[in-house]
Amino acid sequence: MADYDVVVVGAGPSGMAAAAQAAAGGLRVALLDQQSRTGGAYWRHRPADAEAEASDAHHDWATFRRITARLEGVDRLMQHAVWAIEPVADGFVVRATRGEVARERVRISATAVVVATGAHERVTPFRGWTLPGVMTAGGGQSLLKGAGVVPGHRVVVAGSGPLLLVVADGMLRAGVDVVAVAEAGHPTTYGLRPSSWSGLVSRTGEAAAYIRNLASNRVPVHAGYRVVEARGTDRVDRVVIASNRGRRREYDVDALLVSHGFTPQLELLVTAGAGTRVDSDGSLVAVVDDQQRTNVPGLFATGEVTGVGGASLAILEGYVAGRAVAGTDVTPSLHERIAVHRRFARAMHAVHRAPSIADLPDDELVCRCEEVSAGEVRAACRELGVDDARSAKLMTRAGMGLCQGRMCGRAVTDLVAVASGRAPDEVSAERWAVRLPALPVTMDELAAETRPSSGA
Amino acid sequence: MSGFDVVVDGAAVAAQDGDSVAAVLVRDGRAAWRRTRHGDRPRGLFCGMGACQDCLVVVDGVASVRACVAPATPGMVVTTSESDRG
Repeated sequence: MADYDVVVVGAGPSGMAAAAQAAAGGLRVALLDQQSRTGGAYWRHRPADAEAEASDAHHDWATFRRITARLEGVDRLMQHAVWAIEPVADGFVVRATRGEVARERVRISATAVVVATGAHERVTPFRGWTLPGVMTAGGGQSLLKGAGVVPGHRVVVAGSGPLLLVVADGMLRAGVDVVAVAEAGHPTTYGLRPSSWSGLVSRTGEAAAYIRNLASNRVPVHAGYRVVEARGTDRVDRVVIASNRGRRREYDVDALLVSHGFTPQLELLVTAGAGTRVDSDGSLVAVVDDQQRTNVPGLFATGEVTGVGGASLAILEGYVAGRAVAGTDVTPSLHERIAVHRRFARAMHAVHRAPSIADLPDDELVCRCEEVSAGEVRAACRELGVDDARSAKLMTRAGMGLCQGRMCGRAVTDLVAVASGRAPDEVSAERWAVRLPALPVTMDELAAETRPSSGA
Repeated sequence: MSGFDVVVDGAAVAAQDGDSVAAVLVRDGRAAWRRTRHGDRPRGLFCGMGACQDCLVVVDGVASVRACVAPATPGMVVTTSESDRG
């Protein structure tokens, strides 16, 4: 018999919802996450926060509390970094490393697996983007929500997407001097797609509240401006933003928080055999049916891995997966609400596009780990006939480092697409996600897998 | 909020219950604590969620620990690659 009826990978909003719902259906459930606490990036919190009934620092805290109360019978296995999901005859073997320091090999068998690994942030490289003090907007927010630490005292928040306003608002409330917000898109064009908004009054109201708070604190919000340069020696001290018409603005800062949307974390799904497609924001996502089932029997996917759409959608999908895996009916109203959120997500994707990488200077790094410049990738295309992302990786080492292409994969794909005149889809996003193990593991851990006598 | 000390490059640094190692380092005023192996470039926290591997430190003698994922624990010994630079 398997260790669990279902293993849920990822304890963010979607995974929590799936685990709670599966447990309600009478299943034996394990919920795994590499972080120390449930909640994911969305509900990153300090231990003391978990006891509080209400919180100004967290969104929708009541929902976190409500779902948490339903996780009583779920084995919450925190600090478990899953690096492989292996389909076997009667289900799956989930392989993980427990602990980030004293690492221990863990092998868990399950009849079904729900993958709710979420997304990491996408940053389109720009001049100076590897300088310390430049970090993802979500990373800055995680520091604040998870530890009460601010990433800097004088910051610019730049990039594209609704997260920028959320993060700027959070920083302001924490006493940070937010000197500007630069949004590459033109969010007013949401209004051109009124059908997308129906049923989502609360989300538009939330955005309006952020804008009011920024305005009352005299924080300029520059729409149509993208970040073009971070300057400094050992830390960013100046940020340059520019409009499409070439108008430039500069700010003294000690941190820059940047986000150009998200990249779903597909590694475990792809290596387990799940089918994929390219979503309207260019992300590779898992193909699922209306029960959140992938094409691999017993393997479910929910939340951002099925298309970037935010926490509310991720929770609804988690409920569907939890019901489906337990054999409970999914109500039509749940599907209707999901459809509304999907429409909204498509509208957001259309407005908040990551900027082109065409302007990245040749001598700027595109791959942070292997320190490969944009010029090296372009030269490989020009001189070595490279016209797909995988060849670019083999020829330049871009994407071969510790992050396994998570940070540079899409940028390299775009560089190759521009240089070769092919569409990013043809250059192939999928190959960047095909990698096993999905996280760096020690040779000891891998060697242990080949010794049956020591198997757990 | 209960507090404790960790040791960073030989000096005691205050930590709070629930902190990641990265949170301890940033609260202590550090933006960078690693050097890249080719260009000797400074790096610190970038993604803050376990994906980018920029924030690696040595903890209790174990290399390649993600500072943003590893929880700080009392008495933990953190060594950064800035420790051997003057």
